[in-house]
Amino acid sequence: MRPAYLRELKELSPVIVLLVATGILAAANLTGPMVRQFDDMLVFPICAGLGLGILQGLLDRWRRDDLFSLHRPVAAVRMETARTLAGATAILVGALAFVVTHRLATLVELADRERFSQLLVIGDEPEHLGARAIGLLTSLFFAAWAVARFAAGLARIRWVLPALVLLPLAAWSLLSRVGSMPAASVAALLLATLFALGSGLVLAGDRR
Amino acid sequence: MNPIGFERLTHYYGTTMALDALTLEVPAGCVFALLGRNGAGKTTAIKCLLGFLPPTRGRARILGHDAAALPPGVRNRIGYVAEGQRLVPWMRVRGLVDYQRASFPRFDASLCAAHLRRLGLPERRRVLHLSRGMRAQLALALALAQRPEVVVLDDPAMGLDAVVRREFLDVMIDLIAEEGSTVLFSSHILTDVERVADRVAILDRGVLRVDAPLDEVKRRVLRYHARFEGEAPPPPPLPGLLRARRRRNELVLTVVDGEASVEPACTELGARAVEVEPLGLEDLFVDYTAERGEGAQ
Repeated sequence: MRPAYLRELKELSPVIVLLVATGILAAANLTGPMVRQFDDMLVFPICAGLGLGILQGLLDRWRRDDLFSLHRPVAAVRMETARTLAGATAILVGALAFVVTHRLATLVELADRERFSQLLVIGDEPEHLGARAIGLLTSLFFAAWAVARFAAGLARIRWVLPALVLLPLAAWSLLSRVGSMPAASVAALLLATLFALGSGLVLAGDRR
Repeated sequence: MNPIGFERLTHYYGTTMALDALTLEVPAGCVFALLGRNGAGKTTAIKCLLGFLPPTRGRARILGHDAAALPPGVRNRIGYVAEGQRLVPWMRVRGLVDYQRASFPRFDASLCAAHLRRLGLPERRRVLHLSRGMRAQLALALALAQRPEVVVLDDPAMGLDAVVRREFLDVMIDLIAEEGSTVLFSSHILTDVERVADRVAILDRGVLRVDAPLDEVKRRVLRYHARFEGEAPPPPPLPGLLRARRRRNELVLTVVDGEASVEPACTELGARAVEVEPLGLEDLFVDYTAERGEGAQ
């Protein structure tokens, strides 16, 4: 499964670079009052997720004719798990770039305010997005990705795994909006991915 | 049980028939050539055999397993070179070898390295930048490094020039002889087939027309030239007549097992001489698959 995962990741590498760059740019410009424009930001993960899902769907379609890649002694479910994990990795790397940049930008702004607070009259306090908000954004990303892969795939196995990633995330996201879960979004995402992987591995049979 | 078998395998693409009740067996250790014109159903048969296409009816069997549900362990024992040698273009040769090694537990890296050295394939070059001939050789080296019990080659020499094709076949013959694998390969380059095949099958528009050892086919199928004083008459009704052509005062007949029947039948029509011509595989193939002319079956 490792070679299939690494190959998929390599083929997704331009997309990962794009996600990281977009995440950094978005987060670097998201300080102070812009946090309040959270609703506008919801479009980005949806578009990015759809884009990634469609791309993986196209790669899958291309591989259906790629008999060199199909002829290997690996169950189809493991190949699909590897591709799903590669997609999840791409999303996590993009989300991580966003989170790290956002936190750094907030820290820099706080330090600047500290330094210049004697000289300037500053209105709004800087804010950063909470774990729940970031979790929601990432969940939206996963949801859009899963929907796109569902649409692109024809066989059952092509959408089972993304759906398994999506379900716990959606549940967690919902709970975190209505309750006060102490959330570590990255940990939750990792758990969801592990859950998807485990579920994928127990699905028996070769659906090549 | 033979390592490869097709049992009334039928496949339709929509309403178009690609294979019609194909039934044949490939004995162990045999180099078996599947021949046919473009669109005859060779690639469809191979795709069904490897479980890439579900048959409409019938079944294909490989290494004792139904091809529609090949377990990974069985796939590991099958070497396969796909039509057009589509490999992963962005990978370097070395990376591709590693990719195969990680996927196939039986992959013999030292054997593969020896093949690559022998073929002079540059390990650091990307597949994208290899010539067609190099890609074909690489695909073959990768397939054979798995030490497969069965090798399936789908038109491996397609698109290669005569020199590269000859090199490719020489390597294929040597490598296969070393391993003693069963080989099923499709081709429409008949000079190649003649050099390597023990047994041939000819597919014509999805229908199996011949399945026999190459020597036997050549011995049993002969071309007869019957010469007449005037205009050649229409061909006589003959059992096993494959193709009949009239050329002014000559009647040319290709017949299976016609030694006893052709000469008397032509003499009865007034032929003054009947000559027998042994056929090469290419002529034989053409007479089996081309339009058959008057009176042919």
